[in-house]
Amino acid sequence: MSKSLKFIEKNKIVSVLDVRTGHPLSERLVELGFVAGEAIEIVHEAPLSGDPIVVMCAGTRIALRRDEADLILIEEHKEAEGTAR
Amino acid sequence: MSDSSKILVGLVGHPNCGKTALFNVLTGLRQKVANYPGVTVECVESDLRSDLGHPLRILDLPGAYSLNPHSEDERVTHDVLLGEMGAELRPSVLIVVLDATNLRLHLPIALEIRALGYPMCVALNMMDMASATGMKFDLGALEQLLGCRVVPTAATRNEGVPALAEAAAAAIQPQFDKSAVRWTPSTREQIIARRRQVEDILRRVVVSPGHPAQLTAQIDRTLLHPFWGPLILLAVIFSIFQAVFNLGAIPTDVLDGLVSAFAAWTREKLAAGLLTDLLVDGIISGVGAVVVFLPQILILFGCLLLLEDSGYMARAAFLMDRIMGRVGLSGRSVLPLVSGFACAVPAIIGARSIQSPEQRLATILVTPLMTCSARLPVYTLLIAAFIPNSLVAGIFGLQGIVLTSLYVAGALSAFAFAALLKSFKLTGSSGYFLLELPTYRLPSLRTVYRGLYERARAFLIRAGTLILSIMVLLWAISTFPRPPADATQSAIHYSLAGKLGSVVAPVLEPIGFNWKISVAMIPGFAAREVLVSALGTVYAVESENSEDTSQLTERLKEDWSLPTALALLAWYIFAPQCLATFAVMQRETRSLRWTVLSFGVFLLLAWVAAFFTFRIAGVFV
Repeated sequence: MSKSLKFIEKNKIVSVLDVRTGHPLSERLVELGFVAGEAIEIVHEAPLSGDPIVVMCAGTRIALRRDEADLILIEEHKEAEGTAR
Repeated sequence: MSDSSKILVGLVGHPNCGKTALFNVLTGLRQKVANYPGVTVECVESDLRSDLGHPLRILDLPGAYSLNPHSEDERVTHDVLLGEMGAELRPSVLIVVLDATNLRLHLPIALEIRALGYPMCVALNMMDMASATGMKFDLGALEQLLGCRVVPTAATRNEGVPALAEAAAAAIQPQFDKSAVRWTPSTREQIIARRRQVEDILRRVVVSPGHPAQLTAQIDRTLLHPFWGPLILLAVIFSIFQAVFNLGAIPTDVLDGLVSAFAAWTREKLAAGLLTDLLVDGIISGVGAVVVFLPQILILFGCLLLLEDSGYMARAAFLMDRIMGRVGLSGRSVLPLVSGFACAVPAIIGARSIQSPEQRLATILVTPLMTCSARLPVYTLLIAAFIPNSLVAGIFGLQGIVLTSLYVAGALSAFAFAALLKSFKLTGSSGYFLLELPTYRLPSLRTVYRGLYERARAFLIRAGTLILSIMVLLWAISTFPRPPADATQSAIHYSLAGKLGSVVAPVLEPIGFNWKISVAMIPGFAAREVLVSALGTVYAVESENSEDTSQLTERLKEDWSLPTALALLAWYIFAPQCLATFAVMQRETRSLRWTVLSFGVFLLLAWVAAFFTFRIAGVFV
C-alpha cells in the first residue's frame, strides 16, 4: 500500500508515484502535473485546520483539500535532499 | 454587433494565461462586444481593431485547462470548439494563448488543439515577465515543433499585437472543414504522453530557464500566513465595504440630486396632466431611483475585478474553503457569493467555474440571499425613516449597525440554507476543491475598465427596458380606472392597483403590511429596487400631488408603525423579488424544480421572518 500526499508534513519534498483513478478530478490532477517522478511539496496549510493545502508541483501552485491529496500516491525520499528544485 | 461575414477567430487558453487582456488589446476598448444569449458574459465576441488591418472577429472563450471539461465554463469552450453550440459560434481559426512563464503547464492544450486539426497560431503571452526573469526561448524551434506560427506577446503592455493579428490571418485555411473535427476524451495515457512530449519540446526550445521569480512565494508567505492571512482577508473585505458605502455615497448623492432636480424641472415646464404625471412619477423618478445606485455597484465590481486580476481571489478561496466546505460549498464559491453583494445574476453565472456539480448547485441556490445592491435603496429608505440617527456606546451609529446587521443576516442565512441543503443530502455529499493559485501580477486597468464598462452597460439597459416598463405599467394600474366624480376616498383606491392590493392584503396583513405596501410589492417582484419608487408612486398618487422622493420618508413615518417598518426590513432579507435572478437560475441549473423550490422557500422565509419581527417588535412598541 503506497502512501498518499494526505498526511505528508509541510515543506517535505516527495515524489509522485501515481494518481488514483475513479475520482472526478483524477485526470485533472494528472493534467496539472501530478505525473510519476515529479517532485512536489506542500508549501502552505490553511489556518486552524490545516486543510486545504497548497502544493508546489512542476512550478505551479495548486490548492486542494486533503481528501483530494489522498488521490496522489507518493514516495518519500530516503534521506533529506535539500531543495529539489 | 460585429459583422458576421468576417472570419471568426477563437481565443483559447488556461484561466490564468492573460487571454482576456489579450482580447481587450486585440479588439480595442471602443469596440462593441456581443454577449451570446445563453452563454453570456464568459463568451464575448468583438471585431478585431480596424487599425490592425484584417477583417476578423475575435471570440474570447472561457479559460480551460484541457478539452476534457471539469466545470461548466470549460464545457462551454469544449462545446464551442466541437460545434455543439451551433456552426455560427464555431471559430475557423484559433489563437492558443500560453503563459510563457509556465510552459510546462500551458503547452499541453496547444498539443491537444493541434491534434483536433484546427488552423491555429500561438500567442506566447506574458513574454515581458518571462524576459524579466531571464527566460529565453528558441521561437523558431517552437514553431517547427508545433507546426504553427508562434508570436511573443505581452498583452498588458500592448506588445506583439499586430504580429499576432497577422499570424491569425495567415493561419486561415479556406479549405478547412470544421465540421470534420472529431474529438474523443483524452485517456490517462494520452495525458501523460502529452506531458512527456512537452518535456521533450521544452528541452529543445528553452535556451535559458531563467531564475523563477520568488515574489509570489514571498507575498504568499504573508497573505497565506496562518495568523495574518485571515486577518488580511477580513481587512480587505472590510475596506471594500467601506469603499462601496462611503466612497459610493458621494456620486450617489449627486445623481440623486440630479434626478430630483430633473423631475422638478420637467414638472414645472410641462402642463399639469396625465402625461406629465407619467413622465415625472412613473419614468423619471422610477428609473432614476434605480440608476442612482450605479456608482456603488461599479465600485464593488471594480474591487472584485482588481482582486481577481491580481491573483488574490484564488488566495481568498483557499483561506475560505474550510468554512465553505462545512456547509457543502467550496472555496470556489467565494467569488460568486461576494459578487452576490452587487447582483445575484452575474454571481450565479460565475458559479460556472465550480467543478463539483453539487457544490455549484448549492452556490447558485444560496446566492440570492446575499444582500444585493438592489436591496440597498429599500434598506436606506426604511432606515432613514425609522431608525434614529443616534450613537450606540458613544461611537457606533445606530443606523449603520442596523444596515450592517441586515447584511450579516443575509450572509448567515445563505450559510444556514447551504447547511440545510447539505443536511437533507440535497447537495454537498461529494464536494471537492482544486484551484491553481496564479502568480501575482499587477491588475490590468484595461481589463478592469472593460469589465466595468460591460457591467454599467448591462445595468443601464436593464434600467431603460425592464424597469422602465414596470414603472409605466405600475403608474397605469395605479392611475386607472379613474375615481368616480363622487369619490370619497383617494384616487388609488379605485384603481386596478388598489384592487390588487386588497386581494393580497389578507396574506400580508398578519405581517403588518398595509394595502399600500401590498400594492408597491407587486411590481417589486420583478425587481426589488422598484419598491422604493413604487411606494413613491403609491403615496404620491394617493395624495394627488407629487413631490420628490425625499419627502417619502416623512410620509412613511406618518403612515407606518415601527414594527411594520422592521417587518419589511426582515422581509427584504429573504424575499425572492427579482425576476432576472430566477430566470438565470433556471437557465443555469436547467431545473424548473430547483428554481420553483428556492422561490417558494425564500418567499416562506420572508413571510415567517416578517411575521416574527412584526409580532415581537409589537410587544415592545
